[in-house]
Amino acid sequence: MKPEPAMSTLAEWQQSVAAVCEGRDAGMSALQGQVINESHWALGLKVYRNNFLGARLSVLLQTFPRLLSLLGENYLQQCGRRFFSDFPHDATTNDMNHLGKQFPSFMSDLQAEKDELASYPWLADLARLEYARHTAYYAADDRSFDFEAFQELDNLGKDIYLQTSNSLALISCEWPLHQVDCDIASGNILEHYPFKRQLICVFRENFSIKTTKIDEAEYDLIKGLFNKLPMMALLDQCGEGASALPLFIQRGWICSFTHKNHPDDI
Amino acid sequence: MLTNKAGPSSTMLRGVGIGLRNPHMGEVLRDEPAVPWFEVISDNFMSRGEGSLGGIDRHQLFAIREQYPVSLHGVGMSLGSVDALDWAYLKSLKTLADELECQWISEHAAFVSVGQRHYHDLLPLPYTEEALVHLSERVTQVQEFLGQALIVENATNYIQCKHSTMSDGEFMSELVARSGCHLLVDINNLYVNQHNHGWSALDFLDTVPADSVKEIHLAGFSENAQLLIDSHSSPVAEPVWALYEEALLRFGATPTLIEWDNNIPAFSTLQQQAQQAEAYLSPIQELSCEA
Repeated sequence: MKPEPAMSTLAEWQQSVAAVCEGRDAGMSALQGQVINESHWALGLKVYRNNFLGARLSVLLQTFPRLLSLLGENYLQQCGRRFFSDFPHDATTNDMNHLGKQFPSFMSDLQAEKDELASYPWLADLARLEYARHTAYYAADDRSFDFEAFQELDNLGKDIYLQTSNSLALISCEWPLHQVDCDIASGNILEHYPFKRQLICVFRENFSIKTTKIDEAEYDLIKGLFNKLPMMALLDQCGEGASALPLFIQRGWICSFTHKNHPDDI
Repeated sequence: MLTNKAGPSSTMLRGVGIGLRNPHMGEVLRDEPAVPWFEVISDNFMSRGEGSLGGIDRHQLFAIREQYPVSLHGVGMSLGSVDALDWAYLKSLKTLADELECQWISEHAAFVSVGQRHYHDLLPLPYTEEALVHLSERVTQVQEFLGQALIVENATNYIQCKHSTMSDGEFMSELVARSGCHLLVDINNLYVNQHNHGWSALDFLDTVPADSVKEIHLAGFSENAQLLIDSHSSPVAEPVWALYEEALLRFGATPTLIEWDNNIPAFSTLQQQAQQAEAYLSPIQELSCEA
């Protein structure tokens, strides 16, 4: 007769249950001696394993609604399973909003090996657009631009840094992505889209997420802002394009500023 | 003794509330349906990292709070975990509760993280003295930090630890005795555990101290082979209604919540479920008013 397994500590119990969630065999065998041997104990462990995967798949499907519409739930779930298997679990918080961050690049890699995805060459760009919208939805609130303080700023000998909205994101792609996005939404996707460089900006305005096309000059200007260039460098680099700065402030794309003494003057 | 605080504009919860989820927030703001209170998953609205997390949902929640009492129901505190308490999480929860002037904060007798990794599910604790001591100490710490009693919910378990030394009801009763917390009794969880493990739901209702029960949850389950799953994806089942009636007889008129988290239906379906619950709750409420 085999000896009864000793009581594990609470810590050991929790580590074993976590291992089961991650699908590691070690958890299964460690718990086997610790749980009541009901006919369905293995099924019970499977529930936790399924819940862990299911919760993450559900977030992924909500984050990429256009991909869901295009590829269907079963296919996107298959992609999700592979994604979560390729990217080891490392959630250090319960915030699940960042789960899809690497999914666009994963889809780009997957596309190279899946013939059925070949007809959607813009797929990874669409995923990037969707993740940008998802991020904009949950982004921290912006402060209102303080015009008074900006006007009173003594900019002599100071570098001024304009700060962009927390929700602002840029997408550059070689496809008419804006049209693809709208076509999927309306269920009228075309078989073929011509090459066409397109620049897109995503941002939050009140209670809605906006996706809008922008031109090269606006793109360069926002890139400069993202790269934290001081205002004088922006004006030098973007030339006439920098004249859009007041418009960006008006749209809420620029929401605050900081300044510090110029290094030459210290 | 810690009590639930009431902010200047807060209202005591009463009647049957509805678990408010993202797909219905716009509709609630627009139509202002007659619902006595809403409960939200606090984790979805808490600040993370630096600065306040905004987001459209958060704006909507604050607008809804202007019209309705709101309670906060958490899933990420990981009360039973052997990891250290996440004080940044608790600080964020306290800030949210203060901003919303919520007097009800609830969590689960479970763990969701271990080894600093989160599993996004309510994982089971063994009903042992070691687990009870650990959980009681943490509930006490959390209550001291929040400055109010925590409402702790009984969890669904899909496995039974063979070394458990007490029933689920005894475990929760001892938790109340040692920490002074309140209880949220999830009737669906009791029914699911009864079906899956043969634990007596009525024994649980008879065991826990009636005056500690401050809230009841009702939800639907799904079936997976021999097991019932606490999926919150269907209407409240008939045997769960019967248990609810038994619970009200023991606990009196207790604020009750309809929860639905998967395959979320039209808001009107949730209202119908709430009306069904109200039919059980109202006579008890009238009796207690007369008394």
